[in-house]
Amino acid sequence: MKRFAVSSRTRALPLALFVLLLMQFQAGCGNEDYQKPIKQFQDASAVVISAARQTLLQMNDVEENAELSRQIFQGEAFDEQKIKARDVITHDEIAARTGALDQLARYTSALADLAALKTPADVTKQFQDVGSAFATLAQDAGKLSGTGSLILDNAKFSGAVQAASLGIGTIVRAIEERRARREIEKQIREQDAAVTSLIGLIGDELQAAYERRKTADGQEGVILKNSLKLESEKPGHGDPALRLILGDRLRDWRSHQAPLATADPKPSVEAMNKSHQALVAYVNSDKSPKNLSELIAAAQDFASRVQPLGESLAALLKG
Amino acid sequence: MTEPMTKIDVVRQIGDVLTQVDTQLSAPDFSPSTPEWQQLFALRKHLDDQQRELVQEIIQDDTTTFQGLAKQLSTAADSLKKVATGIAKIGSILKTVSEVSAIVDKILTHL
Repeated sequence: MKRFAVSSRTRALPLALFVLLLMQFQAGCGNEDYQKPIKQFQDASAVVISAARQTLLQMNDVEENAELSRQIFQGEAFDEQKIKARDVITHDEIAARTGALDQLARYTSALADLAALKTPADVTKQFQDVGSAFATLAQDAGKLSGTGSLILDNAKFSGAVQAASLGIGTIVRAIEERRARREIEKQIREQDAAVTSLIGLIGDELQAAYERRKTADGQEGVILKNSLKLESEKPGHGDPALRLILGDRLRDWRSHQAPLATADPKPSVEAMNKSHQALVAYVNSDKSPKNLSELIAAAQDFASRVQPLGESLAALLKG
Repeated sequence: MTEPMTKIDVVRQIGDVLTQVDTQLSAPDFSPSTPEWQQLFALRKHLDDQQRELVQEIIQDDTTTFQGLAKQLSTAADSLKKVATGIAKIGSILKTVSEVSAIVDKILTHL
């Protein structure tokens, strides 16, 4: 009997060691497996935020230049007031949108750390920072809601930021109060509709801005080609120097058509939203392999969609 | 079951129509000195203004009225694609673009 007991202990020890090693191995794998999609998410988010900023920043220039070209082409007197009247967005409106995207990316990173088997206490500061940044954003967006925008629905944006801010605030409180992990995960799941709705709204606004850019650019092409046609219709095909100048501008216009065609930020923002949702599902699934595969696929898709956007933006900036 | 259309879908659809109008206006044999070209360019400017106005308008896009008008717009935009390009068809193109513009006017005034 004693011999059996000794034998049992000696057999149990390697088994316990094996289980311990297996647990460590699984924990390590979990971390490594999900590190790649999170890094992809962070890199791709940085491109989306930069694309959003660039798309919004150029909105006034796009509208103003289109009006100036039209006035010149149609032989109207130069009218600075009419040109300035085309301005559609303020610096504060741009700052609020890009700030929201920035904080949304930071929130997803904090969720990722929570998913990385860290205890809620380890990520308290990260969540608190995002929570207070959202509270400030909500205040700033609230100020915008009273101002009539020419192109953006500030009241709707402000409402979406308030909802996301409240939702994230609830999660931060749950973490600060050291509630059970299950309870925190439940809050993350329940509050996520407000977060994804804000990402969706920003995506719609960016797409509207992109459509306006395409429209203005299309008009520029029509004006250049027809100015050249009008000049060529003149006796002796008009002035060769003027034709050359128009030709140069037409060449520039043609060179940015391909990058412009792939500079729509909406598909990338949608992919960002899907990655975020996959991460929330992963956090809520006891880190199941199925959810991890879905997270990896969503982050990969996000990275793939963002790559041409980044290239297009670089080409458009160069042009 | 098709997805309900949103304001952004309508904005994009106007953009598609504008692209087709731009192709027509840029055709080598379509001179800007002709009245038809001037008419189409004026329609283009109007559609451009409408798209800009629509973007800034706060619109309830989940109503039956909006969905009905958005569907009409889709049909008109599709019929523009079917009209062969070329000067010979300029009458049909002007008529269809005017229809598109009239539907967008309805969207802007009735909602």
